[in-house]
Amino acid sequence: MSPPAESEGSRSAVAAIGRQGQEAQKGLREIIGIWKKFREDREPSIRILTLMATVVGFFALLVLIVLVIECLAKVPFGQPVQVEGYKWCLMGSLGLFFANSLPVVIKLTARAPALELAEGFENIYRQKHGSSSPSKNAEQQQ
Amino acid sequence: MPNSNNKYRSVAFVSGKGGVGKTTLATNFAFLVGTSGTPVLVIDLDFHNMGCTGVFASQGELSGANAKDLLRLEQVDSANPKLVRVAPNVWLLPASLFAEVQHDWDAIFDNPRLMSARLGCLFDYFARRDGIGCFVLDCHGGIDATSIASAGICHHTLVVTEADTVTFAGTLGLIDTYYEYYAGSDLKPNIEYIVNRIPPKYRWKDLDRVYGDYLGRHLARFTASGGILAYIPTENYVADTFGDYPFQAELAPSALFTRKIELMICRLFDPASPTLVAKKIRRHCASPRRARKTYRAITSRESKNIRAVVASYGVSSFIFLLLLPFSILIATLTDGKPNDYAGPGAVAFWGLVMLFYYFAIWNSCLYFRDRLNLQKRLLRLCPRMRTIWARFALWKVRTLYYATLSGVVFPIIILGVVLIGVFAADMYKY
Repeated sequence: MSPPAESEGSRSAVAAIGRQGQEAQKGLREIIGIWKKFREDREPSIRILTLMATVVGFFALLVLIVLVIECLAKVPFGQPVQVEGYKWCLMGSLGLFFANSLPVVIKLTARAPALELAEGFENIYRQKHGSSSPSKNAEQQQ
Repeated sequence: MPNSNNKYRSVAFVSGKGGVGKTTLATNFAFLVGTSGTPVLVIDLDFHNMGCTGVFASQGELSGANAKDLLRLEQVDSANPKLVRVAPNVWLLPASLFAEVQHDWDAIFDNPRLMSARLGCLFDYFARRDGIGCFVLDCHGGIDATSIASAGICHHTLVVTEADTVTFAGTLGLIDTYYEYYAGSDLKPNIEYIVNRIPPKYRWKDLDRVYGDYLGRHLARFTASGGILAYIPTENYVADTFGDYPFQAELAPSALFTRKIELMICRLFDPASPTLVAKKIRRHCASPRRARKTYRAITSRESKNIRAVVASYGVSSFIFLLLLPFSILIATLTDGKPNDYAGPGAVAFWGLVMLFYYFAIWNSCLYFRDRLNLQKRLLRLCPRMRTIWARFALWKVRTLYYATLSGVVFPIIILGVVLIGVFAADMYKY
């Protein structure tokens, strides 16, 4: 039995599936590319971790301060200790925290200028020597 | 080692592209080595642009011998060349006379091998006759015979580059030329790198990684330390005074630029020729921690102060803007009557605003102090700068310095008086 003749519709369907596959592959390659870049430059991840640690640390400290103040207020020194305005102090410290973390967030969202420099160096190096940088060569050889 | 003579040391400043700051680095390097008491000779080998010659010619008449004429001679002794003294223990051999036609060119200036030999003869002659302990060569910005010859003959070849791609291309070109020229030669240039005029946007860690990858490893064959000798940041005062006065290290002895060159001197000379390192410089670099900190610093104090001032004013203005609608909201909710929240809240917010303003004034004060010291030294050391406008500028900076200083001191005094007053009132009450 001979195979059915390939119709126009089936050819276009195959082509469409092929295109979809290619796009999916491209998307996958892009994701892998991002991961590769991330792996190459660990600096941003370290900075994100530092920021996260700062945020968690700050809130932990905040909770601790509130607990201490609440405990102090309940200590029976003849009469309860009146702690006034601590909420304002906490709000002030929160403002200060945001003011401090703002530049870090801006730095995180902005691209590190040295990366652009490295890309420029890579292009020049490749055009001059016809290969990647020495460290990349070494990695590829391994 | 290119030159095994241990009676003197020789350092060449080269680059793959012009205008990267070789002349400034070379003159200040020579000046700081000269503070050790050892005679230093700066030789201008940039026959095209004559950077060093131009800098010193603006200070006064440069009568005497010149490098172009001396390199043509087979025997220097007969010429009995006269050097120009430009600073204590620092001498200059200009590139050529300004009056001379620039395209007066001999075959020697296109022959690196012959030029290396002639340079070696010059070094030996001046070391013997004048007791020169260190030769500093300011080469042409780009690839020419002097740059190639200097790398072969000098103890250290310092390749100056900048943190941009254009200069990087030039540097690679220069290094490739060295590879080709010295491939089969006994001479192996001892190359170190200086990344000059780094903009404040970079971080040392990022830059070190990029340069370590592209320069340090690729060129490790020629590099003794396997890394970058110095990262030097952009400093406004260096650009401001370039051409006015040749030794910026004398104008701002505590600036990062000066500290960086001191560290370079220590790294290059301390183990092999300690006599070339002044006691003061050795003291500055004695602590490894401090030396490491200086090596890694790529933001000048001036840039830091300016950033701090701008950031402080920005943050305090931001808090102030937050405060206004919040105060209005509370006043609306409480019908303008005194409430429990207004007192501590106002104190907290205004305290923050004042704190940031105080920080801004403090940094402004530091900035104007540095500027005032620089201007005062410039007027003292450079008589031709003592014009009425320069004096007016000095008074302007002085006024701003004292104004900001009073802004720093008065709040402390007022706060102290208020605290003492409150304390005294409490004491009197009870």
